[in-house]
Amino acid sequence: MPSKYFDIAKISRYLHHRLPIGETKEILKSKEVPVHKFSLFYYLGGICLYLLIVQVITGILLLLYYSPTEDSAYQSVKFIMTKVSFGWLVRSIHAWSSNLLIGALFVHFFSTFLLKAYRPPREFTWMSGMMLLLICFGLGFTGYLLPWNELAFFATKVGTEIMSAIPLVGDTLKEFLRGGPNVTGVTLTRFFALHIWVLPLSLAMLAGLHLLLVQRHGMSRPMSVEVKQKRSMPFLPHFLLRDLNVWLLFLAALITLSFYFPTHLGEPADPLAPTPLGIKPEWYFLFMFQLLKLLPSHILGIEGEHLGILGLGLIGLLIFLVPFLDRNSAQGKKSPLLTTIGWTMLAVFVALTLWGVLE
Amino acid sequence: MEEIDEAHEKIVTDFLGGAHAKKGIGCEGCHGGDPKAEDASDAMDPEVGYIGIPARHEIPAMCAKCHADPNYMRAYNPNISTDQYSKYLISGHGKRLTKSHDSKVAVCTSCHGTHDIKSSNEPSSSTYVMNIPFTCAKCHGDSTYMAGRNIPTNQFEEYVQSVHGEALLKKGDRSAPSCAGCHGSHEARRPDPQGVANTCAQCHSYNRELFIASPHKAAHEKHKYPECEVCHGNHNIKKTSDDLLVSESLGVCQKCHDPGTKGMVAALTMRAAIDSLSYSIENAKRLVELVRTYGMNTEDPEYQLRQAHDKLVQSRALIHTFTPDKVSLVALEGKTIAVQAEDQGKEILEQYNFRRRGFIFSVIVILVLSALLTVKIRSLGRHIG
Repeated sequence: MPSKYFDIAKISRYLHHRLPIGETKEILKSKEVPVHKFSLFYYLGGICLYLLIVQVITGILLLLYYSPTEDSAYQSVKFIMTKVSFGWLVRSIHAWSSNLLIGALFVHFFSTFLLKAYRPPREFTWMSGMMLLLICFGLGFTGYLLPWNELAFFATKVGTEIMSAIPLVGDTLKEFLRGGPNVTGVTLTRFFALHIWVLPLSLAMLAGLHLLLVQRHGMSRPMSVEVKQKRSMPFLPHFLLRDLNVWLLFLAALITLSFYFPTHLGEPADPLAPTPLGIKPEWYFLFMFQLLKLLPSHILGIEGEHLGILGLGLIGLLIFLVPFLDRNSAQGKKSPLLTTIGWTMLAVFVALTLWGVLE
Repeated sequence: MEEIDEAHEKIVTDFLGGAHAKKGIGCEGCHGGDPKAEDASDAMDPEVGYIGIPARHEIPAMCAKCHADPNYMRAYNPNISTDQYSKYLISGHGKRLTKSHDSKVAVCTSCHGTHDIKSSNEPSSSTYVMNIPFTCAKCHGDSTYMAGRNIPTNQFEEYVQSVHGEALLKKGDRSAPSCAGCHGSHEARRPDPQGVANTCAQCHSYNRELFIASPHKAAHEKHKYPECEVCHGNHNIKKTSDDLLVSESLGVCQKCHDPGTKGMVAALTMRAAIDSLSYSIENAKRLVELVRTYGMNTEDPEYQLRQAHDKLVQSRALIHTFTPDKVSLVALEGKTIAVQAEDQGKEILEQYNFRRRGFIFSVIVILVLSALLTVKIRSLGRHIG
């Protein structure tokens, strides 16, 4: 007999009448996920979403105690690490999930590129994904400074210095980010605002658009398997349960990494100290850092670093526009040039990153 | 003739690289004569003040003509001291020169060089602080040269192995004393037995204060013992250790105090207090280092360990009071801090164990959930259409 105050059927009717629950259920019921030898890559989107949710939750928990000023930032992080219950775990999970997120985004990016999943009608899905990757880079870069320790301070100093190599707007951009000619407490405040407001808000809107487009167009089937038998599995519950299982394994991985390799506090930042030897950016910027180091000081009379930044920007733009440039894939034909470019980019990225890490 | 020219050429080269040539002073500054004369015989005419090569015993007075004249010297360097000659005259070297007419004793050129005299601030100068032990050893390390003098010639070998020699010559610490740091330079002489503490106090002032107020001061005066040197030695001063207090091979207290006497009991009491503090610090340090390798934050106990170590240093310095109560009190304060650091280390170790238990439990729960989910997924079948 239903309770007078808790009638589930009544509540369900009430909600169904006001929210598009029925329609959503229908969409999810009819949603299918292709099954083929590359199906494993379909989990990457879900992994990124999951890690993003972990980022938001742990980020909000850190915000309860973090104080974004030059005098108090380091002390507040120290307080989180030593006095707040499970503060060390929350901070470590936040740091590790950000690294895993960017790692997953790289795999997502390369797999999408190599499987040509950007071909019509998924041009905007690709472009929004690229922008999401850039925003995540920004979140990583701005978040790295917030503990205000020695390593963070000098990595930011070096990172923002590189920006001045961008032709025409470089110096202005550097000063805008730093809030002056040097990395100071003003930089910390700016990075904090970018890290918790500007970038997450942009990311939420773009991620919403990205997900909407994925729902609209469904999962892309690689060309090599498109012509063969079109097998698929229902999204609900088959794929969703598999997704949840992967998320659980990632949670176990996050806890393991946080336990065995906790994020350290480091030494407090000292703007007057000399830059420590061997200062390096986070691993996901290493490929750019190493590439710029490889260039000679001058190429054809232009400063090597300026040319390098220009080249990287141009490559980024071409990749962003690849759905419009790869005409073969758009017409359902093989595109060996783009495949070669994709594998070359992957090899260069891995080689430069490994070189940077081992150096 | 050719050999003379070569020798002359070397003298000129040496001189041009020296301090005098840089200030515009020529050969005539020391040798006299007329540098403007066109003919060599006119230039080196005794009538115009040419003195040629000065006799060794005349050198200090010759250098003093300029270097002891404040009015003359201020034109070149207003801050340079002009008391070198008067100090030299009261030095061991000066006395032997003027009173004993010792023809081998050091004069200005023995240490500073002849034509290649350089400022003592220049690292290539024979009187640069890091070169002084080698300069002094040229004579004082040569047993043949020093024959007939009642002083040893092994000072340099001993100094090189001493804590001061290692600091200056191996570590390059220019604040560490060279020979001149204790003996003086122009006024160089053996320190008076009752002035040794004052000599050492140029750097170790706190230890001197403690020593002067201690019962040892009167005893040393009575027996004319050379104060610090009695326990620490002179040229071969080694880095101190607790073994210096009481130990079979290195102990110094037992040299004067027999077993069971008041002095020996005091030494044993001080050693016990310091050993107890060292032991507590080592225990705490081992634990703190262990938990740090687990990735735990050990800033607080490390700070306490530094405080405990300060107390250890302080209690070791207080040995110079030769009062066991003072040493024991500070050592006990340090031990209390070290025990607190160890307790904090234990607390952090417990936190780590709690985390490990939590980690194992949560991973097991997650893996069980994952296994259940896998069973559920399999029960659904593949449903591949």
